[in-house]
Amino acid sequence: MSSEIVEGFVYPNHEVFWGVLIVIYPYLVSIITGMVTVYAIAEFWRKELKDIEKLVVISSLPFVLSALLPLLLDLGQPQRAFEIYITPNFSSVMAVFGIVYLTELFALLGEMWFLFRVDIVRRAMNEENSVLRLFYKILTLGVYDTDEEAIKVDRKAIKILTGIELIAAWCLSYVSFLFGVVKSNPWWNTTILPVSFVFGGLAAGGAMVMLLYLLFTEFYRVDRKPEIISTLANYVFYFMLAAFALETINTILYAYKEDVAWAVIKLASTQLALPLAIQVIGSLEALLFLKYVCYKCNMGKINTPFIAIASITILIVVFAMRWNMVIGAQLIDYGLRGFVSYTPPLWGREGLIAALAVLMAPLIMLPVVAYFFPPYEKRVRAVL
Amino acid sequence: MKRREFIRILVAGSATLLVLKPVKSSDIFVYVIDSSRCIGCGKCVKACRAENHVPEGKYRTWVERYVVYSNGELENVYVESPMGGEFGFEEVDIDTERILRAYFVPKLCMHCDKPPCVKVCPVNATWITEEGVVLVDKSHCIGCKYCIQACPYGARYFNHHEKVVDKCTWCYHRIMRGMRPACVTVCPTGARVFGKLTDEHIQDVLKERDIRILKPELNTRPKVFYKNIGWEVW
Amino acid sequence: MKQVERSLIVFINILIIFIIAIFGLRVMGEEVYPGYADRIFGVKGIYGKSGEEKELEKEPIHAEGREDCRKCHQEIYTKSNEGKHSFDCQTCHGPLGEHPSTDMIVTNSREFCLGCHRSTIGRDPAAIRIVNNWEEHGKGRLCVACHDPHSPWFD
Repeated sequence: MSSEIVEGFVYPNHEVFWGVLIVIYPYLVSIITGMVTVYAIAEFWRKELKDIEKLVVISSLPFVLSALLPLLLDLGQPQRAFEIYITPNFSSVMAVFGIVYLTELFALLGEMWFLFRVDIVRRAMNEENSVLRLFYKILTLGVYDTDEEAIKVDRKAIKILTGIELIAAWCLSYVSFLFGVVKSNPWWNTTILPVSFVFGGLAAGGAMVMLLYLLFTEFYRVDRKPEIISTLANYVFYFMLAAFALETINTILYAYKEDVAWAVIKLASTQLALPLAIQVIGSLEALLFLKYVCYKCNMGKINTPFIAIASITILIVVFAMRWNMVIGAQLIDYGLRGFVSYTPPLWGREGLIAALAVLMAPLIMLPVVAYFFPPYEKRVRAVL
Repeated sequence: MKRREFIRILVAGSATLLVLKPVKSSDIFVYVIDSSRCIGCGKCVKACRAENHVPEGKYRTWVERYVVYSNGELENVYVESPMGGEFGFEEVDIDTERILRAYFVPKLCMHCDKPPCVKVCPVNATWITEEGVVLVDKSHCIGCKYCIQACPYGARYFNHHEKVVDKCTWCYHRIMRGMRPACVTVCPTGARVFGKLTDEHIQDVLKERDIRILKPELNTRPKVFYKNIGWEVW
Repeated sequence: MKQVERSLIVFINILIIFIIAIFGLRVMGEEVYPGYADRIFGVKGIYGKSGEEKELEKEPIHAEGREDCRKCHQEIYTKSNEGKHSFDCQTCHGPLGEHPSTDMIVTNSREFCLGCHRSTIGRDPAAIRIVNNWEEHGKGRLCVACHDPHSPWFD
């Protein structure tokens, strides 16, 4: 494959088995975790975020759906993937993924249904296109009452489902656990890895929500609210800070303890110079920008380019973190005497083009979902 | 009283479920490697390739050479395994005067008693048999490569033609017919010894004190034992 | 409350269909799943109901061992058994292959013998007779010119 020995001795069967696709898989999963957590924050604690809850829900769905894509592409025999449900081995972390994933998907679908029920009922009655009307009629499941009593019940159901979804999303972040339990690899075999993974994911999800908020408000011509951006940016700042701190602590601990694996980890890190630089410089830059955005928003001003830069930086930084975790750990050999290099191929099922397509898949699905379930009423901005 | 009875049954039931592992018979297979007898000829790797159709560039068994030397400082360890040792070993550029010890170490799947690879397989495609052999079911493997990551000994490989994970089976088709694995059969010096745990020639070796397993700290309980190797082998 | 009931009914129905699908596929056996899925993708599986364990036992054997060679080559068998080269025939001759119909060829070059008998770092002289002056010893001639490969030892 696309790995070659760079230094030292590696076991002859060693290669980088999990390529760029398995970098994307935890990346998408962590974005889901972050978005669901933002939704839960809006639902349970911060009432000012109520305005974006529809946006968060409809944009989580494409991410949840496309989280399966990289896995299926990476499998040697994807047609057998359903075996994870048919003959599961419950001592395997990967088999539990199937169950957690389905929980997450159904909780999200249920939440979406309750959240959009009033809209669905309205469109089932007023839609002009007969096909669309039939579609919405099926979606109502025959329930048309939208009085206050019913809406109260809806809110309660949403609360319960959000709780389930939040637990499922955090469990979904156990994909880091999947790496953490590999005791043969000293890079993965740390207790801090799952924790830093979750915080990185929360930051990435929050940044994604901020970015989508900018896009959707632009598209639907809705006025942006400074307090939403300010709250979001504040959360993302602390999540990012925690993720960055944990990663750094992990590295420092490893360097100080200096066990057998450290020598080779240190050497293999030279192969990761670029993503490591992105991780460190990007984190610091994003933190700075976020604090500035918060400060500006508290004064009632929205600095759009800064928000966009900060969120995109965080998304890139978290991707670099995932790259370092997944690829970096596989560069070192389990013999701890050498490491290999990895350059992903351009074409093919595990190539860069496929990876890019997988990364773009949720963003391509998003307009479709938004067409059926628009988060905002499309408004024409008042012309002065 | 009735509820207590019910709880008792429940506990007993779940307990039996938990210990529902393959029954360990006393005649599990064991593999012993005497490093001092290995001459690094690579015949075992060749025989394994022919017997099990191992694809090019992949190894079910391979031979490593350890050269420990000192240029006045504390020991330096040089390890190599060119082409898995299949075509023998070239000379190394180390002054023979400075070499403290040098030897060959054949490696293969350890067929652990607590295999981490079996634990992580999501679809039960790999399992440990009654004879203590860890096998892969190629018609059920989904090719997720998780077991390769979990194996600390690098014994598993990905078969790029069949798109499934493959590994050493201790020549399961041979040992079940009462033969020895191909690598043991062809070894000219008897560096590789194979047999049941209760066999006399195995018992004799296991009674010695300088017997070692690799990576004991990972608690995998390997069934491949090594004789006459230094601390630097893992 | 009506909407909650309805959505729960839908969810439970999906769940039941899913579980029935899982158990159905399990009952129908591996010829159906992953069998059919594999056939669509052109993958050949084994799908014995008895499982891979039994299937593996049926694998053909490529090299049975010296006792099998003895059936035809009794003379060489006895000779090598008395000498130092009393290990398995395929160590040098390679796997049996289609042997009775095709010849088993073994190279008689110096390099082939020296593959084991040359002095190399790591090779223990106690384990094998090492030709230390291999560059000079019998220079220009094949080893087999003087040493019978089936019983090479003479002092």
